[in-house]
Amino acid sequence: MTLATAAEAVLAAAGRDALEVFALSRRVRTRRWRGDEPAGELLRHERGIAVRVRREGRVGLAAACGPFDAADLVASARVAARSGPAFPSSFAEHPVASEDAAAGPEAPDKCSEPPVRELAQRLHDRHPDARLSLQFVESEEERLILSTEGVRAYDCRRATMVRAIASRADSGEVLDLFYEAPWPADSTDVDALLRWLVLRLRWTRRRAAMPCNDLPVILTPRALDALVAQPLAAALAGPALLDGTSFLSGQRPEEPSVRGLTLLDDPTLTGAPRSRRFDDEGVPTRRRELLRRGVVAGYALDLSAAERLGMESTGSAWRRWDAWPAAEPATLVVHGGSTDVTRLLGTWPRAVLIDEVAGEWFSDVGEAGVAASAHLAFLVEGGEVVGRVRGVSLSAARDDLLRGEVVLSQEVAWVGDRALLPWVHAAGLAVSDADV
Amino acid sequence: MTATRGVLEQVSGAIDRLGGELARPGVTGMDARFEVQRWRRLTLIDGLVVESAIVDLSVAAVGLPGSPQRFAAVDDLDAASEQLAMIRRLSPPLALPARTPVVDHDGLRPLPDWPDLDTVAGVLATYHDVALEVAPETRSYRSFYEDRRRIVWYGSSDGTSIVQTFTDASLIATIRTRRLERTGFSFASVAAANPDGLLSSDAPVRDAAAQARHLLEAEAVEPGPTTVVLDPHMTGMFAHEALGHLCEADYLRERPEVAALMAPGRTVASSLLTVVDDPSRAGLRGTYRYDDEGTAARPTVIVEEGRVARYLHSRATAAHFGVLPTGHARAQDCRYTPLVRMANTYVAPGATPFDVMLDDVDDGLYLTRPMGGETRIDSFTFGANEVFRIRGGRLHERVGSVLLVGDLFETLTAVDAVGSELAFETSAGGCAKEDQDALAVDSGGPHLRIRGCQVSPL
Repeated sequence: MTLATAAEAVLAAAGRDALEVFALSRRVRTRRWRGDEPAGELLRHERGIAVRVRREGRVGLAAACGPFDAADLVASARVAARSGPAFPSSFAEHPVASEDAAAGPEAPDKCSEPPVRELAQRLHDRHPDARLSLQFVESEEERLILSTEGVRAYDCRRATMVRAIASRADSGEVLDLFYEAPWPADSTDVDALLRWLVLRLRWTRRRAAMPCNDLPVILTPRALDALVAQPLAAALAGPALLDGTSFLSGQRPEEPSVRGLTLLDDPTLTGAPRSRRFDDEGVPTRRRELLRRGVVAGYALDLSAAERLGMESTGSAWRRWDAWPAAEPATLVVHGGSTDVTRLLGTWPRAVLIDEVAGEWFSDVGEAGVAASAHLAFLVEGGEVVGRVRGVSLSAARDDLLRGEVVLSQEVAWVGDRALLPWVHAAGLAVSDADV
Repeated sequence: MTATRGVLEQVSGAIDRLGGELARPGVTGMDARFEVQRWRRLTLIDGLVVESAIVDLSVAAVGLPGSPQRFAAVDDLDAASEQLAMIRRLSPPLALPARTPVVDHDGLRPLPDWPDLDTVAGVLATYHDVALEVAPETRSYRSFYEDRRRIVWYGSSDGTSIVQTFTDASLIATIRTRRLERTGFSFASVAAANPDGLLSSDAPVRDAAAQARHLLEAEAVEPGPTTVVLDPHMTGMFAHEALGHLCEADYLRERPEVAALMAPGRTVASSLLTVVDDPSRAGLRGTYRYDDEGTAARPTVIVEEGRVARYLHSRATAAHFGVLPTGHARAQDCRYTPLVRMANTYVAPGATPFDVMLDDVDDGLYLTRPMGGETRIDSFTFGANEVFRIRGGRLHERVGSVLLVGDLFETLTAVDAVGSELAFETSAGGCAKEDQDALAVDSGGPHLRIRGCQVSPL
């Protein structure tokens, strides 16, 4: 049974109830290498179908993976609706530009083989004691959304991600350096990946001590993502706004400051793995500012959250086949500034560069502050990284992080598949080392 | 949802079909699994249902044991048969030691009845009232209830055929309080095989609300090294995250650098510490009779008196390291290939009663209500939500939540007392590894005392 015939069968079983069908097929091929030696290949294909039924003012979801009967599936959704919520009171109503579901996905372009041998050789030339592990993950995802209220939305999206780990054992310590980005993309080719790994392997060769705690802090894109972008995205998404837990709850758009951070959610970004024309409820997507110079400018909402908040869906619904939609941004973007990274690092005689943090997720989005430890932190002197510092803790008031003065690098880099961010000096962040 | 056929009929059909394929002459070294899983989910925000779902999963998997690249998971038996034939045609079986086949179909019985979702929603709504009563400053209350039932068949071309049934219900409630500029956060996290038992008491929610309220006025701790005493739940989390994952043999096979740190016999912790993983321990979330490769469950001592003793193994990793499998090949469900995973991990009890352990602490912290943690080989960050000051050998006032950070092996070596009691605190959630994120596990232990542990306020 194809995705389209399965979904149509469920739609036909709607009876007089309002009904929405979400059918998903996801194929993933993961290839792994150790050095330039193949280390395995895994293929996964998952198909599932979910139906939401609105009956007597309440909505329930039933889902199935495997053989199913359309009438039974709809009946289960009606059972779930008996104890379900009143929202959304209508499913998406506006047809969106859609590919042809019956035709299925187009044949993929022929993929070029990943340049594994070149990567391994070039890394070995620079750092013979480092071991490279590589993963290339190719995915193809078909989505079909139908509703009794007129939505028919189908697309097929493909993406490839590269994950690299450079490992080195050094005086009893094992260090793993992780890299993850879309492949290929403008900023993630062989040179970019190598530059990333080689720099960090060099920086971690030497140890340094924090001379004092009162140092300016620079965040790499990865640290900016963990400390600022993702928590902010969570705080501006439906669930946190609904129950008032977001530290930004109650903030409404106002006159922006001149210094703070501007953050976009861009589902239209070319080449981004999470870009799409409609969300998982069939609502059209568009590029939106979430934060404008430190002040709330927008939200990420699905149909239910939007209705309960008295707002419109922002086309931010994401879902698995077996669960209700949840709102989250597609791709978080902070545009680069006017300073290149080298100049940014050299702005102060001494600074701390934070590259990887741990434990930031313990800080609840309802808290006004954030605390974390720095897993990878470096001391910078005269614009040069002089060595890795350990035992560094980080803390900040979230408002200071967003509204305080920021200096952004020209260069931007992918952080996984979710964010494209620059390096940044954030005035609101404090570091401390217990040994200082 | 109601499937087209009854659950037992589906499982029996899979045993006949795939078991028949495995029993054909010339088929060797092949595994097959089939699973029917059903779950129900409710999410409430501030006492009102926001999500209600009923989900059915029916999936078959075939492959060579221990070979993720020779594995296929499909959602119908015809496709499973085709995949089995194709893998057999293309791939020679892995060289694994022969074993005595087991046939055990005790688990082939009807899944227990479901609790009525309306009733569950009513109970969860009253828990919201309880939270408001205990903590009037509550500004947000969320609860998440999930009830799963699984019936799983495992078959092998060596004649092994096993059916097991699993039930698992869990409740997570999060409570956020606010008074002026101060905020508090705490949670209740409980799980049980019997959903009726799970919702029989509002005490976990009551305690969590009280803690969220206390945090509104709790003093923040000073960052720096201090003596900490971990409660059994914190101890279990520490054992799981810090030592358990480092003893998973599939990871160590891939990572010779880490295997060198965890070489058998190497001292990695205080000689007072012995750590065990036991999937055969009755009544816990990680309990099973056979793992997903048909190996019988049994306890494995991974760290004995501070030294690495054994790793946790699947059949393939056991063959690689030249030892016997330990029964730790587990998959989240049949959509996934089995990996080496923990089940019920605990620190073995020592000799120090809790009050004696406190007696020797002039100034320190007592940590409870673990918030989870993350480790990066030899460094760790763990969170404790509920913390009490220890002064003069006695527990005193609650203070703010803390982060524990530091070098893993240094910290484990600094354990200087192990409690004499053993407790498991079955909580919701699961263990994540690679692309599998919700495997039911449990952990526990006695109280532990660690000197010079780095803490910072959360």
